[in-house]
Amino acid sequence: MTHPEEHTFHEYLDHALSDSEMASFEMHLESCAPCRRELEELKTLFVQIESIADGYVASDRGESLNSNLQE
Amino acid sequence: MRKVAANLCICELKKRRIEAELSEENIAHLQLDWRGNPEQAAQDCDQSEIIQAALLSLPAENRIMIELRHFHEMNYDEIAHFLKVPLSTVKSRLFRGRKMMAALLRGIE
Repeated sequence: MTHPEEHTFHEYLDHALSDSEMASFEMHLESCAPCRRELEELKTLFVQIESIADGYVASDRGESLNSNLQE
Repeated sequence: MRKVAANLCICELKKRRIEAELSEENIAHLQLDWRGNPEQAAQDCDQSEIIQAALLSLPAENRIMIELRHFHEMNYDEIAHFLKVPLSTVKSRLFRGRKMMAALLRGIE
């Protein structure tokens, strides 16, 4: 069985796959428990990251974003 | 006490990043190792503090991708345009940043 590449999991959760790519990926998941587990782990990571959104204070976020705005 | 623990978390993460250099070869081996007592450290350190410390320990080029995608909800094209980098760069830095975060957070609930 050929498994999707790692980037496909990310792009799927980022809603960046085309309709056909998404359908193909979801079809694979139906029959592949390891890939379903990998997807769940990535989902958990997304939840963890987004859980700190409200209170997040970057040490240099201002500099990072501002430097790009000024370019 | 919690603030001290959080600062220790941040220090430990920064130290581990410097030591490990976050190369592909050893990302898999990164894991928060709370001085041999993860349960105690978890009690001392809020999970949100741990996650924030992990994010702040990332290289800036990876961290900013995560910030723009997860906190500002920008898509890949928007991020590429905003930062004036290729789409492929956005993806590689974002995915690598997530991989580093996953390695750092492995084991915490």
